[in-house]
Amino acid sequence: MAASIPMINTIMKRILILGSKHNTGQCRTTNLTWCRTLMQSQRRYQEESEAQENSEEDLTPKRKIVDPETSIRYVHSPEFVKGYGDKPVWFHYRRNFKGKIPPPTRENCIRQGEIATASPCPICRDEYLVLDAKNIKLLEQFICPHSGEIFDSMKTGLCQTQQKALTVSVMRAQDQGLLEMKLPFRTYDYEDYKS
Amino acid sequence: MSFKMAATSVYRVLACSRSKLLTPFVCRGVSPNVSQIAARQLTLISVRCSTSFVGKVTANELWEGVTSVSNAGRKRGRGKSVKRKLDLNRGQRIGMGKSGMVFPGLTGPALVGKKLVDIHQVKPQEEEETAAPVIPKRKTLKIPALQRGYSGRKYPGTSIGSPDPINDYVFEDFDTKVLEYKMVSHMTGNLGRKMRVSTLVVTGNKQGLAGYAVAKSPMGKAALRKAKNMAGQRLQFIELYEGHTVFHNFAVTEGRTKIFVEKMPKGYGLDCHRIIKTICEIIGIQDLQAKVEGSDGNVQNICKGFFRGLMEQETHQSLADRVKLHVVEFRPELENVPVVVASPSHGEVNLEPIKEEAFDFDNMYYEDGKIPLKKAEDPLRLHRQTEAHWRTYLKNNRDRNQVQARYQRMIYGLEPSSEELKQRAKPLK
Amino acid sequence: MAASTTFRCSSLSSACRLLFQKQTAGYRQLRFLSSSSQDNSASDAVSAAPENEERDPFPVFVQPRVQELLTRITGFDLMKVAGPQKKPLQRPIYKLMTDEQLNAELSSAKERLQHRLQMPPYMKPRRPHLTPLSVDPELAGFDKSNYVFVDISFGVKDRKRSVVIREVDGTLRVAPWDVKERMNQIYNPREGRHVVKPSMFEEANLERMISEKRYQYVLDRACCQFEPDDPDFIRTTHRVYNAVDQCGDYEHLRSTRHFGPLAFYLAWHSSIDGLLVDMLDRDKAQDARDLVVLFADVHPDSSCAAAISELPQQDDDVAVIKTYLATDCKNKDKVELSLRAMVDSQRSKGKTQNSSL
Repeated sequence: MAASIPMINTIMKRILILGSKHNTGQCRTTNLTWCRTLMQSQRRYQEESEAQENSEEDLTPKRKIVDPETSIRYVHSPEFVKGYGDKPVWFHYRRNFKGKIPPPTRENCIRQGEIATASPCPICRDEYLVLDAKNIKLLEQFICPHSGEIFDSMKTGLCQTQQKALTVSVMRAQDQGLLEMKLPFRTYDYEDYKS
Repeated sequence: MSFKMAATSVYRVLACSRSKLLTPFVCRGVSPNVSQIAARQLTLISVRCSTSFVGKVTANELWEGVTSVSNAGRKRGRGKSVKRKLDLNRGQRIGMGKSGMVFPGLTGPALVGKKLVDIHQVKPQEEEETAAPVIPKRKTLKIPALQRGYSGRKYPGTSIGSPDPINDYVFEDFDTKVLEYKMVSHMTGNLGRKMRVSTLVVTGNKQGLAGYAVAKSPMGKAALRKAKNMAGQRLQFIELYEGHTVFHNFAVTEGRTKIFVEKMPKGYGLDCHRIIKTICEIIGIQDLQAKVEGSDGNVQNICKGFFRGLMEQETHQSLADRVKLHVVEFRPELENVPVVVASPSHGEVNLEPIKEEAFDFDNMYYEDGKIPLKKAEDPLRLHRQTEAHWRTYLKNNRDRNQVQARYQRMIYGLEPSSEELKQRAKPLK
Repeated sequence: MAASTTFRCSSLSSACRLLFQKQTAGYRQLRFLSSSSQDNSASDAVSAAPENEERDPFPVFVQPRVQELLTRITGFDLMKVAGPQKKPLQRPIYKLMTDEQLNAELSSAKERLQHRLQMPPYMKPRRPHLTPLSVDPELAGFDKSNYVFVDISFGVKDRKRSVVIREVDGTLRVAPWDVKERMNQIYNPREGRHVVKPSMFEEANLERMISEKRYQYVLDRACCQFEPDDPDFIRTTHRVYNAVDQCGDYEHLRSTRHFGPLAFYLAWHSSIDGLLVDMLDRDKAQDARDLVVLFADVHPDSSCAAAISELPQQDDDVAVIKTYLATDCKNKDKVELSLRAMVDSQRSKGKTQNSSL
C-alpha cells in the first residue's frame, strides 16, 4: 500500500443495456440504450492484493454522518460565520452545466455513503449541515422571507434528495410550531353557533 | 562473424555517433551471411553515402529550422502564430522504457570488462525507484468556480478589482466586472493585421454609483486596467426605489437592441440577460425583469441602453411634482391599504382628479404608447409536444397532484417506506 | 334479522347522499384517533369553573352591547391590522390621487379591514354525545370495523353535517366530535385546517410557544384548526389569555381579533385588574371605563353592576372606575395608583392646553 502512489480518479462507467428487462428506475423512455451513470469518486486506484487487505477499511463510510444537535451547534458557531458569512449557505455555490439554461438539479450527490460528484450541492458538500425540523436557522435560509415559500432547487442548487428532505423538515417544523406557516383568515358566521 | 557479433558491431558503430535520435536496428530471422553484408552495408552507408540529416543534426537545430523567423521577417510581422519549441524528452530517461529492456551499446555499455552484455530486461520495481519525477503539465492555475466568468476561462463576467485611486480618492467598496473582451484588428501598410484588445467594463459600489467604459490596448491586461480607470471617472448616480429596484417599467432602444425593463417586488431576483444582471449587481438592483430583443449580442448597446434607461427614470417625487397629485401605493401584502409614497413638494395638490383611463402607471413610460406584448406561457408546453411526451410526463409524475399530501403522510407516519413501496409494486404471485 | 341499515336521524335532509367509510383497526392505533371522551374530560378539568358549567357565555358574548364594548376596547391600528403578510410575490399598484380621493380610499380601507377584527366566538366546551340513536344487537358482528356514514350533500355546513357510526356491536350513534371533524376536513377541506391535530397544540410545544410570546400566531392557528367549542381550542386560548394576563403583554394582542375574547375571558373570570392597570397606564380612560361596564354586563348580579346603574353620570370615566374600585376590585392598591397617575397626567395636559390657548 505504501509503495503505490494513490491516484484520485473519477471513474465513470456507462452501463449499456439494450432492450433491457432491468429495473430501469432512472430511465426516461422505454427504448433506451443506456441507463444511468455510476460515479465513483475519490477512490484509490489499488492493486487487487491491496484491495483485499483494505477491504475492512472500505466498509466505513467516507462521508461523516452528523447528528442534528451537532449541526445546530455548528450553525450557531463562529466557524459557520467564518465560512459562509452573512449569506445563506446556497449563495456561494455555482452550478456546472453547459449552456445558458440550467437543467434540473441532480437526483443525489451521495451514493453508498460517499460523495459521488465533483460539485456536490450546498448541503451535501458540508457534512455538518443537516436538514432537521429543529435546525430552524438552517431551514430559514431556504425560505423566502417575503412570500414564505420554500425556494426552488433551481435557485439554491440542492439535489432532489435534499430538496425533499428540506420540504419534509420545514413541514415538520411548522407542525410543531417552530416555524410559522401562512394561515388564511377564518371568518365566522355567528348564526351557526347560536343553535 | 556470428550473428551476435554482426549485430554488436552495428550497435557499436551507431552508438559512436553523437546523434540522440536513434532507433535500434535489430536483425531478425536473417542468415549470418546476410547479416554480415547488411552490417557492412550499414556501416558503409552511415560513413560514406549519407546525405540525410539523421545522425547529424541535433534536436535543437531541427527546432530552430522550423520555428525561427529572421529579423527581416519579424519586422514584417511574421512568426506571431508560430509555436514555441518543445522539449520532447522532458521527463524521459533515455534508454529506459516501460518494459525496462536493456540494449547493450545503446542504453548501456556493450562490454563489461571483457564480457559481452546481453539484451535483458530490468525489473520494473527498480525502474520506478529511479524514475524521474513526473512534471505537472498545467501551465495556468485553475480558477475556482465562484470566480469564473460567464464561461470557461474567458474574461467576460469576471471581476477585476476596484479602480486605481486618484490622488486622495480611494474607490472603497467598488467592484469592476468585465462585460466584453474581444480582439479587434485593423490593417496597416507595414505590418499587415494589427491586433488589439477591446474591453467593456462596468464599475460600481452597489449603492447606486456606477459607470462603464470601453478601452483598447494591444495587451489584454492593459486594456482592462484602462477601461476600469476610465469607468471610475465616468460614474453616474442611479436613483433606486427602496434601494432594490427601478421606479417604473420602461423600454429603451439603442441601435438595433431593444430592452424592456419591468419593476419587480422584493424577493423576485434578477430575471435578466447576463449583461444586465451583472450591471444590476454592480449598481445594487436586486429585483428586476428585463428582456433584450433584436440585437441581443451587442453588449455595448445593451450596456449603453440600460444605463440610459436608468438615468431617464422618473422618481415618484418628480412624478408627484409634475402632476401635482399624491402618488399612492397599494400593496397586496398590506391588504391594499393606501400608502402615500410621494406628495407634491410645496403642498400644492390639484383638486381635480386624474382620469382613471388616462393614467396607467405600468405602461405610461413606453414611447408612442407601444406596450410590450405578453404571451401566456404554458409551463408544460414541452411536455405537450406530442402524445408520447404527455404520456411520459404522466408516467413520471404519478403524484403530480399529491406531492403535498405525500409529504403530509410522511409527517404523520402514514407513508410506507420506499422498500415497502417497491414490494407493493411487484406483481402478485 | 331486519337489515336496519337505514338509520333514523332527524337532522338528515331528504335528498342527502351518503358516503360511508370503514374505520379500520390500523387507523385506531394512530395518534389522531384518541377518543373524544378522553379529550373532553381533560379539557373540562382545565377550564372547569363553577360559573362556566352553569352559564353559557356565548349568548352574553353575542349581545350587541357587549360586542360594541369589545370592539371599542380592541382599538384599530390600520397598519397592524393590515399586515405585513406573507403572500405570493406581486407588484404594487400605483395611483395618482387628490386629497379627497386619498381620504376616501383610507376610510374605505378601514371599513374593509374591519372584518379582520371579527372576534372568534367565546363558547363553553361541547359535550360528547352519550345516548345512541338506535341499538340493534341483531346487527352485531356485521364486520370487523365500524362504519362511518357522512352526509356530503352540497350546501350543508360543517356544523350541521350528519356523521353517524354503526359500531361493531350494532349500535348506531352520532359520531364523536373528533371523528366528525376529521370527516369534515376530508370531505370539505379547508385551508389551514389539518386532518390530524398539529403537535403544536400539545402541552410541551404550546408552553414553548407561549414562553416565546408568539400569542397571535398560536391563536390564529387555533382558529383555523379548531371549532370555537372544541375543548382543545378552549384549552389553548385560555392558556394564552392567562399567560398574557400574567406577563402584562396586552399590547401584543391589542388591535387584533383576539383582544375582544381576551377581555371577555378576563371579565368572565372576574380578573380585569391587570388589563385595567395597563389601560390606565397608557392613558386610555375610555377603554378602562368600557372594560368596567363590560364587567358589569357580564355579571349583572354583582354589586358593581348595581352601583354603576345608580350613577347619575354614566359618561364620566373616572366615576365609573371608582365605583368598580369600591365594589368588586381585587387589587385595589394598584388600580387606585394607576387611576391617580392618569388623572394627574390628564390634568397637567389640560393645564398646558389651557395655557397655550
